[in-house]
Amino acid sequence: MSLSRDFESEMKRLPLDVNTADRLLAGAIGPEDAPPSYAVVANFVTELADTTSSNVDREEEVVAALAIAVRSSQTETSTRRRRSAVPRLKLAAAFAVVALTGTTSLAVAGSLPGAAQDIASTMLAKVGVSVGPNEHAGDHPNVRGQSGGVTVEPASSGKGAEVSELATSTDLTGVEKGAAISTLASGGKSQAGQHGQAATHSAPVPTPNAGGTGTADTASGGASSAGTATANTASDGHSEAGSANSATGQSHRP
Amino acid sequence: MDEGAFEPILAAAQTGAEWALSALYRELNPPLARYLSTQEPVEGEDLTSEVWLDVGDGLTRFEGNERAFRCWLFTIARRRLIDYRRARARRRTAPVPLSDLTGRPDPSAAVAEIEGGEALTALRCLTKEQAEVVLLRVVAGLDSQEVAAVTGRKPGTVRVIQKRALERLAELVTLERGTAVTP
Repeated sequence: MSLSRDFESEMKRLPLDVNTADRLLAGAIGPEDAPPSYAVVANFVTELADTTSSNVDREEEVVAALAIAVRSSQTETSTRRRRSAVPRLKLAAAFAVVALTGTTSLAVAGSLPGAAQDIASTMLAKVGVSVGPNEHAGDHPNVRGQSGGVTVEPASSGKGAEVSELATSTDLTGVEKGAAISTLASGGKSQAGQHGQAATHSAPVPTPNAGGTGTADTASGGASSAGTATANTASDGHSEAGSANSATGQSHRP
Repeated sequence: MDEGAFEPILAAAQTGAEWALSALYRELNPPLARYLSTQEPVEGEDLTSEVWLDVGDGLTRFEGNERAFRCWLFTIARRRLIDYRRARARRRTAPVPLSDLTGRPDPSAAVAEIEGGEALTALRCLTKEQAEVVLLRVVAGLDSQEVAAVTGRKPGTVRVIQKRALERLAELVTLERGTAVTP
């Protein structure tokens, strides 16, 4: 048996519940109240918690260094804040300069849209810069606050109103009414209502009779009968004979 | 520190007032020094000073009450300790002949002797995580929730670690004294 095993075998398990351990370490259980075999541990905790013997000899030295560290960290913090603000200010200033220069250049060149050009020329005139009239505005409006070139008619006028008027006021009914409204709405292009009339001529082929044979002869202008005769002639009468065989129930093999 | 006294002291300390910084130092340096020197007997004092300098750097940005300040302080201390141990593990050391070391005292034994030893000696028998939790609970005065926040563990895990730490301590003491134990 090894030395460590000897040692382990001599050790006795001294079970302790989690809560008692917690209270022992918190100093809530004194040596008298501790579980069996744990009075020594309670003493150990008391001894360990007593830090009065720890020296504070270096107090002055450490506190002086601490004060310097705090003050320097204060300076660093304020410098860091100032540094972080500087790039934002620079960026904003650069943006303002670019926007102002660009707008002024466009105004001087007369390239701004009409209303913007008017405003720019008014503002620049106040600082003594004369800007010419707007030459490149194209279809842009020349009056501030309005859109140009588009005229909106009142809802009560126009074709829609006419159609609506006709639809509500006409005495016509049914197909005639629909045709009239459609014609007005389409400017005369619509042929609505005309297809509803009865046909004026009959179909080119008469209604088939019961047998259908007559229809075939009529429709083909007699070509059907001629075709039968031609078949008989060409087959030396076999065509008819075949038919007869078939009619009498005999099979015919070629 | 009295209830309600912390806020004005913190406000003054954040402006660099030495009286306020001194009040914070007197209140919190003993547990801080004990926490660090127990775990690193040789470098504990230097580590303590470095932690205070870190506090000075971040004090103007700190917001919270006394408990939060205590947690913050020991979070910094713990990170300093971890950094130091990592740096030490990476550092190349020049071998020193054993003859040069004769007659020099063991620093951890010296600390144990100065700071009333038996408890600290017993603490060294615990695992690192057990010792850390016990120190944060007892020396730093944090509760298990705060220890969990400082160490980045779950509160339940902290409670289990501290339970096992105390069981181990009891077993070691019992073993050392040869006391009969009733199961």
